[in-house]
Amino acid sequence: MSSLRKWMLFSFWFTLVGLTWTIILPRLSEVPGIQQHIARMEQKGIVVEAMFYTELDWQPPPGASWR
Amino acid sequence: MIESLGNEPEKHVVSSGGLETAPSARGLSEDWTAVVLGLCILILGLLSVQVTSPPENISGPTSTETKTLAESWLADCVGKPGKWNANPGLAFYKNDKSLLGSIIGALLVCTAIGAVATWLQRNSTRRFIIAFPLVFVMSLMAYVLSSQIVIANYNLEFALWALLVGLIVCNTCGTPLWLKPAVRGELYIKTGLVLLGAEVLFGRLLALGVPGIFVSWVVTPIVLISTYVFGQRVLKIPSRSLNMVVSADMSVCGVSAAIATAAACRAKKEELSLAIGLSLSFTVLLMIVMPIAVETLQLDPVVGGAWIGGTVDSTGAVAASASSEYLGDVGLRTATTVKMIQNILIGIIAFGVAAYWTRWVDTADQSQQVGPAEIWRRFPKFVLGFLAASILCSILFAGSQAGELRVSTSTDAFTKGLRGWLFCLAFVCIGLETNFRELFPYFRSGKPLILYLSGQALNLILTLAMAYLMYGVVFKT
Repeated sequence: MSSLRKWMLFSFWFTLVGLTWTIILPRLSEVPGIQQHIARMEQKGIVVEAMFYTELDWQPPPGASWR
Repeated sequence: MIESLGNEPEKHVVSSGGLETAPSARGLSEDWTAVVLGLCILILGLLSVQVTSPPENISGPTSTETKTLAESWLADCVGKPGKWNANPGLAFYKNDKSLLGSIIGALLVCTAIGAVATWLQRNSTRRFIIAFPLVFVMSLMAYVLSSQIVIANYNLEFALWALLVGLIVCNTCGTPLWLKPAVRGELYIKTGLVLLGAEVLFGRLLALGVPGIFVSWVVTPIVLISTYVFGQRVLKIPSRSLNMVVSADMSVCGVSAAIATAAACRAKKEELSLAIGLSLSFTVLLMIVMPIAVETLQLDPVVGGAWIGGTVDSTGAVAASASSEYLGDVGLRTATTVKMIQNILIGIIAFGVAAYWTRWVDTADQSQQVGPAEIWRRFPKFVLGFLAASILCSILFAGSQAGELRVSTSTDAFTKGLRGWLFCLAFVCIGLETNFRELFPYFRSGKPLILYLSGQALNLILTLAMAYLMYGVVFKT
């Protein structure tokens, strides 16, 4: 693959990602179902992207003790 | 090219383009480097915390419990981009406060970690420092992509976007040779896993008691082993490591379990990428479908919460899925606690998988019996660092209130954020070394997808049965 073609391919993907994230996804966030889901998560303070429980605002059940 | 995520102490070949860097005999192996660095960072984090009890607390024991304070001088030293919707520039602000300082802090800390690692391994520190900022910028881009409000609220985690960024660069303009010294996926993953060990606190198991342990610790290993055996005996998946990584991320806790088991069984980077892609795709689906299923079946909120906690792969998605009005606060709390116990299980799973692989899988094609010295040589040592971090923090956490505060403050203020950056860097590096064409054979057979679906079906049935038995019958009160 020629150097020019490689960089053109890179620019294409870069633009595609940029447009998706700055135009399509913001529009998607206005779709009523998605908007409601996002508002509910924000309101309840749920960290949906959490990978491990320490990233959540996890509270032990009442009366639980580890000592 | 790095062929696997495992330890190869004798030879470490970095490049797909001709550059090979093999550490000299005096240098530390990748595993021991990760253990040393991970434990040093952990101890630094713990020592950075100051626990103080204000004088007014002497009025009574109850107020002492609630007013003891802890703060770390490393707080806000490592940060990640915040959420945004249409303007990516807003990712660098949180509540009108700039996050740039903490992101630059993350760059400096990660550069220091990598530089010390290259020094310990007797590689060129100068070449690492020149190359690393670009790898970090790619990781930052991945974090910004994952922080978009729609992406973040549907649990499409940064790992996926880090892979995408790396793959785009590698498969278009190519990964330049000068960047290779900083493309250290294995090192970042293993150091991140040692730090993750500090979050695996065994004492927290007592929080949910017997029913939660039954749901998480009895069903999960049964599903994991059954899925693995099904993949080997029925589907005849050629790669045992792919079979194990898909089984673990489906049955335990998604991306974090996939990373831990992939490193423990020396899975290929393409196998880890595939497992994470599968897991995240189905997590989005389960996150939406599970609360509807719980409500349709009119399950008790506690039983429904336990079912969601045991089946939805990703931790954040469990909380999102169990936050429905029908399940209420009690359902949400049960779901996140069951998932938390599953999170803690990854320590034992990683050790078990590493031991099984070292003893039986790696030696399967050898006619001679392998001795203890050889088993020790092959064992992925970073797993020991992971367990040491977990045991150290579990003892501190359970010992006293000051210890509990020290561990949780150190995790919240420093190590949790750093672990996230290290995993993000690792996935960018995996992408930077992966050719799209290497991924196609895995999709062609469709077997990993069948494996995932069959295992998840078993998981759904067994977890519902156990949740009903434990929370609906045996421990109903």
